[in-house]
Formats: sequence, C-alpha cells, structure tokens
Amino acid sequence: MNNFASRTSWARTCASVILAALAMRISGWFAPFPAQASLGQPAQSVETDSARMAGQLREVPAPGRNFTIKEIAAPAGLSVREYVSPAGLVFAVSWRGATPPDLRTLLGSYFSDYKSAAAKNRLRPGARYSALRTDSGLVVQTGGHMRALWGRAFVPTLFPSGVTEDDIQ
Amino acid sequence: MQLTVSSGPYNAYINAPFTSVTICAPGTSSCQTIGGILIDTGSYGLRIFASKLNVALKQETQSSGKIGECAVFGSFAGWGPVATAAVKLAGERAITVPVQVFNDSSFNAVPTACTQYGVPMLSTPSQAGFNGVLGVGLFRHDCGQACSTSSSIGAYYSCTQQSCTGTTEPLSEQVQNPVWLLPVDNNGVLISLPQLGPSGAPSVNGSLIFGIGTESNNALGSAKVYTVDSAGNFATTYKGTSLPNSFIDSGSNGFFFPDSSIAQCPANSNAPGFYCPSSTLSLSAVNAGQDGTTGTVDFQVANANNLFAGSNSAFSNIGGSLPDFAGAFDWGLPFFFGRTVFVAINGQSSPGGTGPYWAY
Repeated sequence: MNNFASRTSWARTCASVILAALAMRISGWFAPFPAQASLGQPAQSVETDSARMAGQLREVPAPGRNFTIKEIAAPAGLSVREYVSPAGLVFAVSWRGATPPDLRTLLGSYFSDYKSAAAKNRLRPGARYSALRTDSGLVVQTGGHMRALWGRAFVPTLFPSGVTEDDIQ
Repeated sequence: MQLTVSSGPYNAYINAPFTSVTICAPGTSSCQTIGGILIDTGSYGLRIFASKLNVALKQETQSSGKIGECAVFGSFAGWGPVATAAVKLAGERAITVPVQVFNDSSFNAVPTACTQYGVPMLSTPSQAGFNGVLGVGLFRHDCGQACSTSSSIGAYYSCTQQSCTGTTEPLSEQVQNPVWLLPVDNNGVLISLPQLGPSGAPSVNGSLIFGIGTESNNALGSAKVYTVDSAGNFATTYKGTSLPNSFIDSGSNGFFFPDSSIAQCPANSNAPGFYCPSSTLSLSAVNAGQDGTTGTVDFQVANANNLFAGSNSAFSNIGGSLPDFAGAFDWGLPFFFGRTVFVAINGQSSPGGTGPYWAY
C-alpha cells in the first residue's frame, strides 16, 4: 500500500523509530499542542501532526541540502513528508497512500485560504490530477487513482534559498 | 457487454467508455436500466448518483447506524450511503453487491473530513459527466483490509440522524468490484477497442467481457502479463526516467505523464490540462511488471486543442501533464484503442496466474 517505499528504498532503523515514538509520546504528554499544525509553522508542529495521525515519525536523509525532511508513517500505508527550513519552519508537505491525509491538519493556518480556493476548483472529468493555487500563494496538487493517491502542498515564498518545487517529493 | 466511447450523457467527459447497467431492489422484480455509466479500471465498485435511481436499494447498516462512504478518486471525492443492490451485467446472472449512492439528499450531509482531501466533491451527474461509475479495476474491494481493521481511514462512516463517525467496515460489506462476485467469469475482465485514425471518431463501440480464459471470447492468447505492487501500480520508464507508480485507467481520458518539453494547451483553450505540441509526437515508453516482464509501448500525442475543436469525441492520441513528483504514467483510454487489455482481479486465479495483474 505504501508506494513511497516502492519509489526509493528508505531503510528504517528500529532505534530511530523507537526514539521518534518516545519523543512523540513525551511531547504528547507534557507539551501543549500548538493551536495550528504544520505548513508555515515551527518544526515541532510535525510531532503534533504525527500524534494526530497515530503515526511514527522519522527523519529522511537529505544529504547536501539545506532543509530536513520529517516523515510520518501513518496507519494503512499513508506516508506524509514535511519539509523543514533552516529557520525551523515547515515550508512544504507531501503524501502518498491508499487514503489521503486530512489537509486541515497539514495546512494549519493556510487551511481557510485553501478552503475558499477549493470551493472554486472545477472538476475536470477524465483527469486524474487536480491542482490549485490560492491568492496567498499556497499550491496544492493531488492525484492518482483509488487506493494509490498522492499529493503535495507548498508555499513557494517560504522556500529556503535554492529550493525548488522539484525538491518536494 | 457493449461500451461506447463518447463524451458521455452530458457531453462533458470527452473520450471515455460508457455503458448501461440494470439495477434492482434486492429480492424484488423492481429494476431499472441506467445508462451513462463510466467503465473505470482505476476504481473498484459500482456507484450511482441518487438522482438517477428510482428503485429502492437496501441501506447498509451496523448496530451503530447507517453506513456512508467517502470515496476518494484521483481528481474528485464522492459522498453517499452504501446500499445493497441486485446488479445485472449484460448476459451474466444478477448478483447482490454493496454499491455506493452519490449525493443522496435523504442521507447525512458530507462529513467535513471528506471535503478536506484537496479534490473537488462530486455534486451532480452533469458536473461529473456520468450517471455512475462501474469500477472494474484490479481489486475486489474498494478499500480492503485497512478499512476492515481501522475506523479512522476516512472512507467508511456510521451515521445516526445527528452525525457520522468513522467505522470499520467488514470486507463483505465494502463497496466492491461486482465482477468477482459473479458465479462464473469472475476472475477479471477484458476491454477491447478498435484502432482509431489520427483525427479520432465521433464515437466508437467496443466491448467489456467478463472472465479471463473462461469462455471462447476471453482467452488470454499472446497477451503479456504485467504484475503490480500492492497499490496496483507498475513501473513505466519514459525518456530514461522510471515512474514506479504507473497504472492503466480507462477512466482517464488521455495519456497523462510528466514531460516539460511538450507544450501545454493554454488554460483558456478547448483542452486545458492537455498537451498541445505543434506537430504530432511519436513517443515510446517501457512498461515493467513487478516480476521483471518488460514491453515497449509506442504512442502518439497530437495537439488536443486542434482535435477538440472538431466534433469528434474518441481519440487515441491525446495526452496531458502530471507533475514529476507523482512518479506516475497514467495509461488512460488512448492506450486501449487497437488493443485488448485484461484486468485480473486480486486473489482470483486465471491463465496468467493469480491477480492482480494487467495483460495486453
């Protein structure tokens, strides 16, 4: 179900999973959840997202790049990646899985902007891809077929220097 | 059963295969035949707009309430109750199968979460371009094990008069591909369409045949088998790039693949989202099954804006873009012209092995 895994081999060590799970539980018990989760928010909000999705959090290596990638392995094969800038802000999210994530969780303060743009988004019969760009510069792209869906959301003005949308995999 | 490639009952869904199904209230002789049903190898199960139904189907329930579903497709999501129907597909015997009813105004309103997936919601047949969808893809169930074990997938809901909450849904009650429930000819389907000229045709007839290697008209013959991953995908290599999430989808009306070197049709043209090369491109790609079987596919991409300016609705040479990050080549309806494409259902035995696999 997880076709992220089929794309590249992302080895996962038991230790990092346990540490990530531990960190998640500790933050879940002792730290208050931020009011809004992720896009445009501090990296800590990724832990909130992971807890809400009952997922396991790990870091995906991005050698030579000036950003970090946090990956949430949620139940039923949903895999969510959040891209964190050197300033510690989430500037993009992407996902793959049998069912998509709730974008309210991932888009945070951009969600209301997204909702009003989505209401105007016309269905294109026959396409298996849908894209929208909001007035505030949020881009949301989704597609695939039943049981194998993918998507990403990003705000280009939040990109660290040198990052392009091709980096958001 | 016969299918017709056209722009559908609302002239809104160009280059798609449509058919009719007969649907009955279970255990009665109250039946109706509904046309404008999209044949879709990219989904699983029969779904019909409530406004097109005039027979009373049997609402599915659990002890906690009535069952509703949020079904997410690549480019839209649909909400509505799950009901049991007796369905008759062409000359096959009627079967009883859970189906989804889209936009039933007598059912609960769509749960907020279902509207938050980044895709437009289905609202009316004319907006969707079809009266219903017959999902005859690679899987028996539309969700599978994930939905029978977790209540938080976001697909199945149990609804009281007040509200809907996520629920687990046993496999036998999930919306499912009716083909695997047939008493015979239940291991898959084939779709066969004739070859088309470069300017297309007003409409084209073809056939959807049930079973693989079960009758004189559905032999696998020399078709090559392409096995898939657990999501139903295989790898396509196009211009040196491997696209591991590739699939064959009769409900996609073009070849959709990433190629930034091909001009896109303008947003205000006849064909937004499609490719508009100045002259027709002859291209090729290599498909590879999970087991290593490979085969080259030659295809053409013409200027969709010019083609759509005419009165034709069936085309074998239109394409459009997908973003690189999808890692996917969507072999849409143009792929089916001049071919017989076999769709082998998961867990069902057929001459090419046990499904899921594609063969052509």
